[in-house]
Amino acid sequence: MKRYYNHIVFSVLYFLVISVFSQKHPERCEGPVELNTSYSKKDALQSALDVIVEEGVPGVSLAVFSDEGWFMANSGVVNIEKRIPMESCYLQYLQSIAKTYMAVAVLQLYEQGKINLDDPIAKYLPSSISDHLTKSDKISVRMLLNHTSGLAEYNFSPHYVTKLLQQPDHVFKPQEYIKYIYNKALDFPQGSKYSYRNTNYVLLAIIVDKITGDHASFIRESIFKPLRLQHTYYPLLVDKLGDDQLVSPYWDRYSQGVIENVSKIQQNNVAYMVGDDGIVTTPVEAIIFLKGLMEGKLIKETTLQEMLQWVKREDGSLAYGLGIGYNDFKGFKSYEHSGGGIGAGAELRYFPDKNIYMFVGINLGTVTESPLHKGIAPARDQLFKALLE
Amino acid sequence: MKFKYVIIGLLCFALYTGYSQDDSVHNYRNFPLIITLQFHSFSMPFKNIKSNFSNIGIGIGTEVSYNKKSNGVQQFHLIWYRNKNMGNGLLAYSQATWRPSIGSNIYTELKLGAGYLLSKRPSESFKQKNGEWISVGKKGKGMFTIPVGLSVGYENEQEKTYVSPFVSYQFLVVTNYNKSIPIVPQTLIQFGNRIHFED
Repeated sequence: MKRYYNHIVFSVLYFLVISVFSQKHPERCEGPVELNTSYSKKDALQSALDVIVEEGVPGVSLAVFSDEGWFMANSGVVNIEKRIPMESCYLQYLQSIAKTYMAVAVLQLYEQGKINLDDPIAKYLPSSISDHLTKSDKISVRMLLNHTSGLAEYNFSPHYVTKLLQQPDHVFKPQEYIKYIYNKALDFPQGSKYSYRNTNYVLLAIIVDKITGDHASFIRESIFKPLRLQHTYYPLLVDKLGDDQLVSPYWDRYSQGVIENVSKIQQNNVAYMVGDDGIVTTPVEAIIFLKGLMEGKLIKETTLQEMLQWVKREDGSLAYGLGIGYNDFKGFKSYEHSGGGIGAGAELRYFPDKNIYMFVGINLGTVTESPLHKGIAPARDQLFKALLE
Repeated sequence: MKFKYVIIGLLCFALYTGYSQDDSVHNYRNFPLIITLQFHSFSMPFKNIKSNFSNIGIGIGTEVSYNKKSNGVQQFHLIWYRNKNMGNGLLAYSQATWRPSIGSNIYTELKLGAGYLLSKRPSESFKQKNGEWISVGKKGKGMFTIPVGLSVGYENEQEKTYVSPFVSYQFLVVTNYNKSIPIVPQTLIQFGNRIHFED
């Protein structure tokens, strides 16, 4: 009888242990870094995040690395319908910040001697594509990287936008994006000025595909693996990463301050984008990437200095390097990239003068105007002020 | 793609023959019942036509002649469509219609008008109130719309109660969609019947 009793007790214990470890949230939210819970600016930063949520953003997640160590804060909800609080373990959509990852992959191939930044893109692209691109024999890889190519923007095409919204299940192939700009005239002579275009980075992905066989696999092997990024995903596999891991994205479709959950459109859109978008990660791992880049873990110092050669805007201010932007906040320079999508927005910054890294992600779309955006800019300024003072 | 060429070909033929038709005996009767089956899409004209057939709708309407013939009429329509990805819609519109015959009881139409589209959201929506997110259901938005249409159909006015089947392609210019995209394109493929009842 005692033997049976022991079996029952062990079975119950085993079941309890299995049940506890199969619950995802507590385990995932611990994160890969040790937090400084007494960070000197935590109250000011939390206050700034709370203002962003009060102004109408469903949820916001922040990670900071400074000389005081790691700090993370959140406000609002990751999902309105289920009233789930935002936490640092949820995967944020990097949107265009993915361009920095794409640029690093290209620069790694440059270091390996597999690509020359000043050679024309016609040399690297399949002829089935380059034959349809205006001046592909004059536009260099560097011009794609720093957005001076003059190529047209694929997502300005009304046909693309309507297809994306009406048919969210449509699987876009890389070449399909480029077809929207086939044989279109350049917006300006190649190399003559800076103008941000997603098209440039789709072409870079196609170039890296041709050199390595699969640019996504190359990014995973040459960036995610050495930095041990366990929660960074590219491409986004919708079936693998469900709603319990990704933030729920919201969109103010009619600019009325009324938002709807656009998970299906957002997830599929991000899943099929290449080079210019497509990465999801946690706030901490976004910083680990930028920190690894700045600390020479991904490319050599000389290559990094080439990456930080800025092209200028028409007003003479510094704009963009090779896959990374430049900005100035009240005298503090920032190396950065931001990203915006239908249902999410994000910023990744490094303030070298203060040795501060920060990532902030929101689950509200930023590509179309909304009255809910009005409060974000002042609250973000408050965030930067708190960080830098 | 072929569909586009068929429509454009019919239109060109109509324009060519429209002015040369003779005035045969007319038995046109105002205020017919127009019943339509709709297929809606958030698309550019003549693009992505397959997606129309995923979004079905229905409509009723009528028309009144400018000249006691059927070649110049004003139409009035009320239609509802279901669109899972973009939100359902209720559209009321009126179009001035030029209807040249191309012989053997076959006619074409060119239509231009104005309307009002009440477009719902595709899923539950939320508005923030006192720090809380309140559900507002699939709350929609009303938008001024300019519908431009092409049709081809059959009619025989000699019959007592005559039925005129037709097919139309409508391009809707929908205004004030949001602040970043003030104008959006939508399309409707319509299969319908115009039923002129006996006086």
